[in-house]
Amino acid sequence: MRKVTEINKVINELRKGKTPAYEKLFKLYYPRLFKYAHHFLDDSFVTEDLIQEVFIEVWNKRKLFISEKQFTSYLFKMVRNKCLNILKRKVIEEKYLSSQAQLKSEELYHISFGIEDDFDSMEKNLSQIIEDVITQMPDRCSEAFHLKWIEGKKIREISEIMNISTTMVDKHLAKGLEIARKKFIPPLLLLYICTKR
Amino acid sequence: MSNEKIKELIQNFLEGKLSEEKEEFLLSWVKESETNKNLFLSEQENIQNDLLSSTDRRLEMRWRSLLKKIQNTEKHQRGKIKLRRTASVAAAFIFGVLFTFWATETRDVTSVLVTQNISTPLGAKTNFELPDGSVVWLNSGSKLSYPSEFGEIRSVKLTGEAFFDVKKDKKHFVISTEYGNVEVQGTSFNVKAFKNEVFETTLVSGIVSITEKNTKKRVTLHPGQQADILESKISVKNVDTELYTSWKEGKLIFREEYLPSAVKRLERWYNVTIELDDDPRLSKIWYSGTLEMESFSEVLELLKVTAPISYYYNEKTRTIRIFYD
Repeated sequence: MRKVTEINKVINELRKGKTPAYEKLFKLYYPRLFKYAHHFLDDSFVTEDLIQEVFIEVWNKRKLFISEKQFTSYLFKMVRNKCLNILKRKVIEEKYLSSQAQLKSEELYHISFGIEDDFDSMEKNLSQIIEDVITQMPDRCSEAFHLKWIEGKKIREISEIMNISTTMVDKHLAKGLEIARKKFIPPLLLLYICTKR
Repeated sequence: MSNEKIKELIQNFLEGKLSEEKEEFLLSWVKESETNKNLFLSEQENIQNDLLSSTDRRLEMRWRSLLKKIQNTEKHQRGKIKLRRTASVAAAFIFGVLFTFWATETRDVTSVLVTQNISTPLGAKTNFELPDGSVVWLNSGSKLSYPSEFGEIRSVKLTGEAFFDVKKDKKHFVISTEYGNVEVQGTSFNVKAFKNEVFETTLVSGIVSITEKNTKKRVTLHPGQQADILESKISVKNVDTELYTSWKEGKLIFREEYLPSAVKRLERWYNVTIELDDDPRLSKIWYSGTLEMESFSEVLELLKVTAPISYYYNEKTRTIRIFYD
């Protein structure tokens, strides 16, 4: 039998559209979610907006929540996916390395929010996504891309490894970027990504 | 590892206060055994129950802004866009919760007069009623002082920006500022008197007269007119008053406003520091548009999309630097 915890009671109230319940849940989970997302995004404005967006979706979907575990895992996965989307774009725009997406205590958050799937770190997920993008590119191009974005090598180093001129490396990277953009980022979103230098 | 110590770690973790190292430590403890994991989860539940019944004031601002957003979208869904206006007025009232209020006693020869000081921190606005029933909206980063009871003249002192809806009365209502006095009987108008900026008074209805401090020169304004004082010189022009008064409804309107002055308003509105790069082309950029409840990152994006600029945000100092691209 499912235990009637305090949170389950609050979730029942949320389902009925009671804003005090919504407020309680927001205030309860905000600090943890903020800390988690901020670790990856490293920007308070972006993090605040992201969590606000997630809670707006929670409100719009309030009729669907029936238990604590379902609620917390939804909440957490939403935050995580949104972080992942932002990071993916940042990597493609060369503003971020996928290996930077590291939080050694990440699994603690998964346990705390009741995520039951096998634990996969943000770093691993991000690398997978970027690798997927890269495999869609021509060979030489994907090699340059991998060295630059996954391994974080400098242009000069890449030119030595691939035994080509730095200008050629630039050309490969530019071409790869174009492919990635076409495939993964609608043009409007590009403006949003180019913010962090 | 004592139970007390672990409880403390869990509590701090739930409040987002644990350092990454301590989080790692807690994680390794949790993963040590199934018993530990269950202990963690049951302790988390206990603490969460406590947190649910307590009220966290620190998150009040964020909660208010979220509530506004969901109320706005729901009104949209019902297709009643006009109600947004009411919501933004309500928002101005909600912001009022944040104002700071204190009273200082000044001893008079005959009676005890109390001076009320109301000031708004940067990023917040408030509105309140004066002893005579007049209503004041105080913009962010502003201060108004007034006596607990008005004498022969209703006299208040303003630093910053405020909108006044003055109750009609035989007694004159006088606002003294660093730049001079604004005198009325009963009208509604906006006064802007920030240090090191241009002084402005914008009249919506009624009649006001303004006396410049140094020259004692006096002008009278009619509805729809604005007076400004620059280096002790008063000039009067006709304006669209909404541009200057809409802040009290939670809207920030720019009409062909040059970047340096737009930036000053944004700084107060969002409580951030914005620096402009040393490029003369930056001061030639101008903006037109209305901001309503936009978050600061959305605003920066809007600025970026509409002009050849980029910006860098320094998280530690909360400073934004704007560059010409």
